[in-house]
Amino acid sequence: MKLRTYKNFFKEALRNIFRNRVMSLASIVAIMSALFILGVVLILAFNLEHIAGGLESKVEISVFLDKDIGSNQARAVVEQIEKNDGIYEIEFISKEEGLAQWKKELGEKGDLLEGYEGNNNPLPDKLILRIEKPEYVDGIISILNDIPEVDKVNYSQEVVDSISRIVQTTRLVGLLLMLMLIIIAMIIINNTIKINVYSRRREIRIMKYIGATDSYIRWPYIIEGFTLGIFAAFFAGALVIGGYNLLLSRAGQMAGNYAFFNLFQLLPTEKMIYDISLTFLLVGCGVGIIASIISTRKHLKA
Amino acid sequence: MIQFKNVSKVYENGTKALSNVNFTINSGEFVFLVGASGAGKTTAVKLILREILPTQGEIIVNGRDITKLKKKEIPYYRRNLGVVFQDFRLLPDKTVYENVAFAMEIVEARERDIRRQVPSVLSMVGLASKAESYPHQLSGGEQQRATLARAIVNNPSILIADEPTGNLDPDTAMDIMRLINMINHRGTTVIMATHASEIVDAMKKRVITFKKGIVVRDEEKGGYANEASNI
Ligand SMILES: Nc1ncnc2c1ncn2[C@@H]1O[C@H](COP(=O)(O)OP(=O)(O)OP(=O)(O)O)[C@@H](O)[C@H]1O
Ligand SMILES: [Mg+2]
Repeated sequence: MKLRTYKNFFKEALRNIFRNRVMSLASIVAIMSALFILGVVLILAFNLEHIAGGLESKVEISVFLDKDIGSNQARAVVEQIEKNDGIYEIEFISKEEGLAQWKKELGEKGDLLEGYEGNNNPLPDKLILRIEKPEYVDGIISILNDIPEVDKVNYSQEVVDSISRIVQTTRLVGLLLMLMLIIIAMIIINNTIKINVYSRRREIRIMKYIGATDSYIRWPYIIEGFTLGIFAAFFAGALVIGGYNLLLSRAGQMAGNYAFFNLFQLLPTEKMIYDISLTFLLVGCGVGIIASIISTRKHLKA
Repeated sequence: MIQFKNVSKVYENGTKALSNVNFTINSGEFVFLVGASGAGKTTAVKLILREILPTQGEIIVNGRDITKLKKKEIPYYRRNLGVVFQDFRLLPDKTVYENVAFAMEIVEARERDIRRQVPSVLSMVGLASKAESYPHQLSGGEQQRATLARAIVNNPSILIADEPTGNLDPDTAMDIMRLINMINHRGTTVIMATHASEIVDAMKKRVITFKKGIVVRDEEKGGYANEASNI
């Protein structure tokens, strides 16, 4: 179809939106609510991932080697471990270094360790493996356990596990909630279009008499849904991003007063604004267009 | 050319609206469809518009059996037809100009052609001064002129009118008939269903008379026969 035809469709769509102000507003609010929830979910997920990412980069496995192996043997073990995927750093702390560290930690009482140097050193050689992602942990631990020179492996799994569980649950609950709201939004848009089609059924009949194709009749409604979606995305975006900025500034103030808030650094808005805007536009327009297509298919029959 | 071949129409509720109807209308003809209320005139009109399908028979329009049209082809088929109804059916929130232009926009005519063609048809039907009026600001006769303008703006080969004068006083009705006659003289085939015996008698055109769904008379330069008024 010609460009001018689409221009007419747009005019028609805007006219429809304005003529049915109340229903249009209801549709916008409905899509907006769904998007708002989506936004909250996204922000939560982004932040949790950010926090989890911080923790994950601290995922460490401590490996204690047999006490009676020599330094050559220890180096061979390190080389063997290095070959595995998912390890981005290996720190080797020989028994001598370990003892020195311990002494340092004891400070004044360091002389308690007097006499444990050399062959009397009770400490094993120790490796600290820094792991890229928690997914790798299980595999690496089982590999470590198969190495004969490895005496003991230490790893505290709980924190990382529970954070990734929280991220997953948040995502799931949020997505379900959002899906529900999208369905509600679709029902409301469907009603808006239905009322629209009904109030214009005479006009639609006339259009059919004078030879308008079905798609010609439908286009304005599809553009209407699309436009409602854009409006909703815009308002929801302003609401979510504005709200988050407010939260950030509040959190900033509180961090001044309570040390607790320094524990977790919230993501700055700039890191998410692009993702959120894009998602809102896509989801908002998508919901609007799909609802229009479904409802015109249903109501334009005759 | 329009040809009904053994056309019957039984509505879903069992009403027999047309039974075994045969007639041929040649290009450029002016034909009245007359008959008492319920005789089947509107049914015949709806069949030609391909708004409904016959239960039986073929309807050939310009060489094609329109009962076999695909759903997608219907809008394009209808662009060959101009339609006028008793109740005008203008778009209420568009001006006269916009209503007429709309018929051209639907077929995606060029802007330039629209700007040239619409005022020309409007002045032809005598509505040039009302171009910017809305339908509710017009008299019945003026509204019917506007629908006529819309019906012919795309130069259809056939004009179909179902009781176009039904809501008009006799003088206005005769004005509209003069217009329709003029359209016919430009080469458009005209099919008009009507009750108005004075009009039919005055025009001296071909008359096809229906009675209870059957064609009982088909006369050149006919009049409004008695069969049409008795039930
Ligand atoms: N959609 C329909 N469903 C069932 N019966 C119908 C339908 N439309 C018309 N009829 C019946 O078919 C018969 C013919 O109707 P039609 O409308 O063709 O008559 P008409 O000649 O146009 O009458 P009028 O002069 O009153 O307009 C009538 O008995 C009518 O009741
Ligand atoms: Mg009728």
